[in-house]
Amino acid sequence: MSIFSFFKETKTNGEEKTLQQLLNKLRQSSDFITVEFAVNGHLLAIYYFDSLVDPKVLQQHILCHLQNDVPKHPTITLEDLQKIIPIQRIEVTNDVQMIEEKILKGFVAVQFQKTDNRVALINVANESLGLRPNNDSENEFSVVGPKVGFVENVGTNLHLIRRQIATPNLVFREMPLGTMSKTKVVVAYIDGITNKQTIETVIQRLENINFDIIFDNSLIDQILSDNSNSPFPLFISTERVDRAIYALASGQVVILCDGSPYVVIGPSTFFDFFTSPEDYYLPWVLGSFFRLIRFFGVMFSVLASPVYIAVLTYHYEMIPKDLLGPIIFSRSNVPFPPILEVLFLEITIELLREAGARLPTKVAQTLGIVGGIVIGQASVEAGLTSTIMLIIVSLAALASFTTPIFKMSNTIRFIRFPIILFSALWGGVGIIFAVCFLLIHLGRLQSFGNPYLVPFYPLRVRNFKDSIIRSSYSQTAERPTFLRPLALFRYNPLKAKQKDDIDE
Amino acid sequence: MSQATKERFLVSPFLVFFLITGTQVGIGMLSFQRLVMKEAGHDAWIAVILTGIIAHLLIWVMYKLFAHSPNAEDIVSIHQRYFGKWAGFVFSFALLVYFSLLAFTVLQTYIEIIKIWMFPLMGAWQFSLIFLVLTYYAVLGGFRVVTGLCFWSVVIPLLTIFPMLFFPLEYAHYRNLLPIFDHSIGEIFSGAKAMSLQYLGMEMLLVYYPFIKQPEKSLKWAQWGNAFTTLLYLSVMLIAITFYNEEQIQHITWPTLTLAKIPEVPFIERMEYIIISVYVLVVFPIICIAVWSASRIAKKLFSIKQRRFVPMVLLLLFIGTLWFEEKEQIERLNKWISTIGLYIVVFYIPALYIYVTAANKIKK
Repeated sequence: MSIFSFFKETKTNGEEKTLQQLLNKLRQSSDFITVEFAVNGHLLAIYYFDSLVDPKVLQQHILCHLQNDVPKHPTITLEDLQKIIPIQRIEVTNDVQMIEEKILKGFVAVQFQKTDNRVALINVANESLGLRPNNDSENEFSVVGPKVGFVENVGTNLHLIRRQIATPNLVFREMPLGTMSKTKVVVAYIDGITNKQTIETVIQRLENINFDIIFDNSLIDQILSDNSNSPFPLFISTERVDRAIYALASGQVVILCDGSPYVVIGPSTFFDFFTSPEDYYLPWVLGSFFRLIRFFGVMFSVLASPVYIAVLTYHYEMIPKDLLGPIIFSRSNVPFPPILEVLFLEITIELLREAGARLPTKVAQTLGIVGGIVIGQASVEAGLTSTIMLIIVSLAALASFTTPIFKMSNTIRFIRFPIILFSALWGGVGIIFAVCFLLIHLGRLQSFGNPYLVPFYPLRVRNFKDSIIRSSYSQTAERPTFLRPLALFRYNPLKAKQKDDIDE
Repeated sequence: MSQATKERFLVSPFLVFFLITGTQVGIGMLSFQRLVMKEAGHDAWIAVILTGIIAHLLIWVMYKLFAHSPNAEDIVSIHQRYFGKWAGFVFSFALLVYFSLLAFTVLQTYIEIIKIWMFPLMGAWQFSLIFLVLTYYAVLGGFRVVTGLCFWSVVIPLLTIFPMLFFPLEYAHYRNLLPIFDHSIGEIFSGAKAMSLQYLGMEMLLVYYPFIKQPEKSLKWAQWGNAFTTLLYLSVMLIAITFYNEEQIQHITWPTLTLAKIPEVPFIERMEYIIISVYVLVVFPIICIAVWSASRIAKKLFSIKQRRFVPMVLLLLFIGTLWFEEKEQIERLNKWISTIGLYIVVFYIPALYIYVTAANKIKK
């Protein structure tokens, strides 16, 4: 036997061939319960994990009926259990593999004779035990609009989606994932809208996943990703129900995963990450304005400190006479070149953020004040940084937080550093080198095979209506064409566009 | 040999607009006024229009050339079909060398500008290295990615550089334009000849033609692209004519860059630094498409993988930039390569078209 045999697929099926072997194995755990009692000549045995089932359901709907009703039917078989037990979808099987899976998911196995290999599997899993019942979507907060968020329980999440999309075309396709966790993963899409090829790609990629335990949807996100070496998120992950439903309605696929309050939406584009559901709740002028502010924030956040470095290190001719005074004044005490100044402050802010994220909320607030005000003020007075630099870096940090999707705001904070480095090495040319690199990289990225930079490249002029600006609802009847939806219109555009003549 | 290029590698017809404009507008935009005005004086803008019209015709000829074959083909297949194996090989190989040299010239000229305006002491190798690494990354992404770069190279400079050039109109003397038609036809034509170099780059269409979805439909967009290039050159030329006087411009090497020194806003001045920086975006797609075209020809000629050939070309380019240091050498190279390009576009392509048409007639 070679030493690498460990890596070969071990045959789990071969080990427990019979039900008896499986039961013996499960009995090693003390929370595995076997209840045996004789009723009417049947030697009934019930197997379940105490830690997984809902004891109330077990007592009221299974034990009670088995004890009271079985004696009334002398010739009862396993198949007849559905008649006396008021629980949906009772399955009878002798497939040991399936019995194992179901018991481990909180089913109760009922056996009529010890020698019989067949059992009835009844679902009494306690779905919500230990999970929070609701989520106020505080991580993607919006002032206007519903504040319902997804929770860890996939059943609840499916309910939240199904409640708002009352069409038989909404399809949930369930597949277990994870060799050890057997996590319930659900792919949701609207049949007749979502492109068939996209669905196929998603399902196929999910089927190819080989992983032990799926802790969170973000694992699926990373494994599904078209390019795992990119710092850019290729799929939106959101905890907002309205966002997921909007995605479904526009022809995207939503992936839900048990145990994760986030859902993954794909295929996504770069610009999807900068839209907030709130844009759609405000009048379109305001929605567009805030969206533009957000884009400006991203540009500023990425380019402000590099431009400062480039100008102050190499292109000081570019500073006008009037501005030169304040800059000299603020920098006269600082002994470092601009790059060190910037790195010092940027890293301070990153530390503050990281520390704030790891600490309990109440402590984090104090830390923010101490770090932000005291350290900032002190480092200027100590001559470590200049005031202008402090303003630029903190504004850049502020601007990076305007991005609604957390993953993207992380990415934006990250890509600032390479650009800072390039600008310190080659000035303005360096910044454009870095921008070029970003453009090529973004141009190469794909999300489920869809280009990432759409509608800019490939240029789709029609889809600009809802990208940089959020047009009025009379304009946005069309679904985004780059998703190649099977039905183009969301609602009747003619009705929305109808306008009466003045004074009529 | 000509396998149908798979659909997902193709680009939409209208992107040819950006491909044509992106490859035509290059370094020349910074300095073309001097050469053209030397010949045609303040009537140089007529020469610009004239050259634009000739370029329209040449693009039409290129499309006509491709229209002879039923499937979308590139120049290599046409060479092979009409000139036979060996002669076709020689012609295609000449194009390969030309495209590689074109990439080299553009790279070298731009680095020269960076050195003169920004970093006189920094080694050229740094810039050429980072440029070539970026080119490698872009070309490996395939033609779609390169086209994407072309798109950005038109859009971003149009939004950043182009508006800056209008600031000097504050000091414009519109009378400089008068009298119109002050120069003879001959002078205007020699101005047009000097101008024609600025339209080079569109010949790469010969290679990327089969990568266009429904290529015959893209003629319209190619013509629009060329018209847009003409419009850009024309407006920059008009600004230069009205801002400088005829004598003065002969002493300015880069009139467009000097124009950018004029605008002043409260927080920034000396905008030519912005122009030189953003010009990376203008220059870079030209290098990418040239290297891509060279490697595409090599792939068809030697059946070598593009993945392999691209690093080889880039390495040669890098060694080349180490070698060429003096400005005179670069000038000479520039002149040389633009003359070759001119002969290819103005004489070779129409000649090829006539030959192909005649050959087809005889066959029938």
